[in-house]
Amino acid sequence: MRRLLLLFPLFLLIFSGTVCALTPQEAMMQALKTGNYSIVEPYLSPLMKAAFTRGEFRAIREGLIRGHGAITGYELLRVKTEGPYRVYYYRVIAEKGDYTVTITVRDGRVEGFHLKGFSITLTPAVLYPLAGAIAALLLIWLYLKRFGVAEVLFGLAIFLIAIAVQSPLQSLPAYLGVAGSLGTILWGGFVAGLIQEGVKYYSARGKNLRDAIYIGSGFGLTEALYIGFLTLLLGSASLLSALERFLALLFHSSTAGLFSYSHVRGWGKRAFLLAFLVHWAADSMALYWQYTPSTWILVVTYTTLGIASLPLLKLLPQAKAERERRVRW
Amino acid sequence: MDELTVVTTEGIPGYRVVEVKGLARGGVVMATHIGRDIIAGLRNLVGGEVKEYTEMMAKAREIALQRMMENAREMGANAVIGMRFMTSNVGTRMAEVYAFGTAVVVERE
Repeated sequence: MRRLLLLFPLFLLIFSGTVCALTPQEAMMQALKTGNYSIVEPYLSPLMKAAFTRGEFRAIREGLIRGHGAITGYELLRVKTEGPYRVYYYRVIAEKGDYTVTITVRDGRVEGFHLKGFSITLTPAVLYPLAGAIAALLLIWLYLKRFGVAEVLFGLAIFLIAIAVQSPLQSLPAYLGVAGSLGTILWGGFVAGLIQEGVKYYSARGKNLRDAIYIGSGFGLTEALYIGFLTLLLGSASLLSALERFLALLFHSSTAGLFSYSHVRGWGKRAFLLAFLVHWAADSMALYWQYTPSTWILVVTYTTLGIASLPLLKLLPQAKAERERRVRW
Repeated sequence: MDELTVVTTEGIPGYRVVEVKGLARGGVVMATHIGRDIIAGLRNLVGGEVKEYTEMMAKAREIALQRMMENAREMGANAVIGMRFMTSNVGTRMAEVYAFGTAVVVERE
């Protein structure tokens, strides 16, 4: 465990080395926040330069400030790919209320900037995250034979608690006016790891193995529903989100099972620490990918989730063999 | 008598009480998780046994009994006579089960 703790700063160091200067979308948001057009100017495409002049920028910004108040921060909500374009959805935090803007980027240049109201878009893509999670849950159910409805519902409840605590904490840097830096990415991952694993740890310890695994499954299933709901509001998701949720559900089931397994053997807190570090790393990488999409980051993230799901290979047979608790009625 | 004997009667046939150690007791307040509460709520709609709560109360009795026996052993007793269970509600979805009896030392007659 100490070795792992020593390796983690090293990992952060390597990870931080890959974060480069401003991306086009970040430059646009910085310009919007500070009112400094020069920040975004080098990132504008020729067409955009003609349409989005300094005067135009000032007029749009002043209009936004009049309507919503001074901009205090922003945070990236989602990235959508449409052919050669990437559309970045940002939540702008303003004094009078938040709103969403989209920035369209192609070949490292800003091609578009729009104000966006939330609209519900019903596409089959909404179901991709849920389909991935259900596939993983079915796999667990088929193996264990018996389904734990109550535990899945419990997992649902604890996810809602976790997300209610996690979301405001993750948005804290944006409210403080810091956004898009490595620090905010790591903070986002840290909060997700600590809150989610913490809630799962306190819920799964002391439960039998099968119940704990289903609590993790319920947690993962609700997370997939939540992601599907965000997709409904913010745009489409790719089939990759199905794979991601498949792995995430296995990951949550695995860590919840591990908490139950380790607690009775006296190393529950160490298991929690390990799960927290893995979750921190995986979520930080996923957040980093949102800012700077790259295939290898995605591969490393999914591999991390996959490896963290491996304990299920040991836990599931044990859960299946677990005798029914004998209750003296 | 090596094992601790627990009976609900005032005495144990074939044995005589040689010393009364005092009141042995053990209690627990139990609740089940929200998932089971939801399922129990659904069962309440259709009627029948609410297995989630049956199991919870059975476990609570077991824990209370074990704690009472532990208490009796600590007092140096080898039997508990006149043992009783008592139960009460704590809040809306929690129940307290309390086990008590007289911790005694018995010898074969």
